[in-house]
Amino acid sequence: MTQNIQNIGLTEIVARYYDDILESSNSAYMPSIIDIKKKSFNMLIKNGLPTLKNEEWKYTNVQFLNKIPFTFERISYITQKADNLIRSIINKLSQKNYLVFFNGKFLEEYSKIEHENIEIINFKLDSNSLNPLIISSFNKLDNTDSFFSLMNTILVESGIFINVPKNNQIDKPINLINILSSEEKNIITSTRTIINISPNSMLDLIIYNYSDNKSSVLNTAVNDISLNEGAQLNLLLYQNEDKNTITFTKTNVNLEKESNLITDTITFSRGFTRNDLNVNLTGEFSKARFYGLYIGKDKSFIDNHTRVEHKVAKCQSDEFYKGIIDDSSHCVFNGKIIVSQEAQKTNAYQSNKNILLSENGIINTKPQLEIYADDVKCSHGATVGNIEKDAIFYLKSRGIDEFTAKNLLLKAFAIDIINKIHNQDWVGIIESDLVKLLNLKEIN
Amino acid sequence: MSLLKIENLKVKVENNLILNGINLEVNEGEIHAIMGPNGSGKSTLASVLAGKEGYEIVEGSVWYKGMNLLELPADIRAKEGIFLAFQYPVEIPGVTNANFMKTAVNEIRKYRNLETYDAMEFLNVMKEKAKLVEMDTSFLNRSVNEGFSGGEKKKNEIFQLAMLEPTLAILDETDSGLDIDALRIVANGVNSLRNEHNAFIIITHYQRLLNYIIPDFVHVLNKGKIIQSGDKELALHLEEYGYDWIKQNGIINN
Repeated sequence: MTQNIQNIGLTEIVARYYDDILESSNSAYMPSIIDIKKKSFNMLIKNGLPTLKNEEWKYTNVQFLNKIPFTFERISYITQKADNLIRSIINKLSQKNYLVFFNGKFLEEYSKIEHENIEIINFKLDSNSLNPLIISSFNKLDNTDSFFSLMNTILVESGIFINVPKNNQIDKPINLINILSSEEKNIITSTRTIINISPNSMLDLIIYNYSDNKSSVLNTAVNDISLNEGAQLNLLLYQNEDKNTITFTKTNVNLEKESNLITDTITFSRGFTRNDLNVNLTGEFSKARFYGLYIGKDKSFIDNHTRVEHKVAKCQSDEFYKGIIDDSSHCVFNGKIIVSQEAQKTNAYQSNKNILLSENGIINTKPQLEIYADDVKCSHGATVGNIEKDAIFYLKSRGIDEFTAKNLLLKAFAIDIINKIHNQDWVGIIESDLVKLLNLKEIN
Repeated sequence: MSLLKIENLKVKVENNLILNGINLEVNEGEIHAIMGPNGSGKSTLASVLAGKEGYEIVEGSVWYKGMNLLELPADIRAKEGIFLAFQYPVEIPGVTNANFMKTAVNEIRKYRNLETYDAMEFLNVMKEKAKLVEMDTSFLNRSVNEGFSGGEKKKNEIFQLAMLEPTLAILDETDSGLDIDALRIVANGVNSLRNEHNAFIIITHYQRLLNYIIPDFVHVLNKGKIIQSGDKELALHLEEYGYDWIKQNGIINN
């Protein structure tokens, strides 16, 4: 399966891989998995790599992917560098409860989980028996699937399934640590995470992505999450990837009656990042609060697409994304709220605030509301501006110089979101990464 | 000793002449009240002295401790002891009052070649000053002015004044929108902070605050000019006659 392909285009690379796995006589996938991969491949071929003409990809040019000669080679032997990276992250966690992945591969020897009342399976798609919840998760193909989530389904070979049984409050957070590192080859990695939280159970989950590459890494991640009646999930997605990393994530959350999602998406990556977060409120009195913070530096590209669908009555969604755009970076925020005809008494809030620090930076912000019910409370707003002049003057009038004043205000703008993260270990880690990323002066 | 000397100061904002030849001298230990109708230029004067941008100095000069004040950036003015209590204090979400004051005080102390405070010392100083304006110490951990009531914001200005111990404090309509209790707290704060080495310029629309803070001088500003100066009696006359009278007739004869 090892081969190097020069400039044949991403679709062709995926196609060759697909032929490889399905036609090779030693393919050991279950018929249902082969069927899903086939369907995904047909959809991928039909859709093709998205272009700017596609409304969902209007500001997000992915054509450059065709010019990168990716290889299928799996680089999953641990280098000293990767070992150091993993250990330095683990050391920062006060609660040692983590699963470690390297270039998409689960590393059991580095992982440590202390939970009795939770089922964690590192599933392999070529095994001859799979939990039905895993198969049904793979079966959920729909029109929110993009080229990249389909690509994930075609290429992925293994994943993590976390199942919290009924009436369990898992108070110790679980950290999924994804490290990407490639020294020479342009590689493709895929991760798949399936989470099921049974009625009246609660889970704290952190998904951390870190990379340090010398060559390009194309990484697709699909997270499929089900919150059953009365379930709660605190989810932090923290992306801190280098300039050579190209990441596409798709996170689907389905919320049943009275369930509660609290999620934060923090993106400090310096490469190319596209996040799709789809929240489906399918049970009455379910609530989703999703916040985000993105910092565009150098030539980074960060696109957050969110889609919340109120399918039934009396649900609540609260969305708040903030961004700082510096240097020649380009950020996109696209927030769609759909309130279906049945979804009366909906409360839906959305806000996106941006600070544009540089003349060469670009921010595209686009709220989209589709409301088909008549008794709803919806609000949305988007702002793009600089650091407030009045606030700078206020600080200066107290003896704080302009540089420090801007520092303080910029940090405060971001901290507003960071402080709302439920996990204090990560509040500390992210705050110190923020200071480094923005070259902020440490103020004590 | 002379602290501040304003000479024939003329200032434009967006091409309108707002200050039209101000002359004023303030000495150490003095309290000056500047009164005047809306639009007379009171707040512009305060902002120009504190170093806000967006004002065009057409003519005149301002000397402060022998320095050409108009050439100094706002933060250096503050480090040299100028303080403006804002008419509309700015809300700064994400920055706590404690962190704000710690940053400010330490920057100022560094500038003056003084040792910066350690955390414990600093906390004690803050608690003591918070008492002065009758603020619960829990406000120190709240974001600067965020969600504060009008009265709390003004008390926070006086708290900051107490923390920074300026040589020249300018209070820009600090009394506006205050109830009688908050007014008393603000006035007590100022009275306990005044001494023979500092000075206050109190800008106000109403005479009310001057019942609590007794000024040495009262100046009447109209159309960008000080048209009359006197002692505290002038404020009482002004209250009696009203600004309409002064707009029409100019000077009040006692």
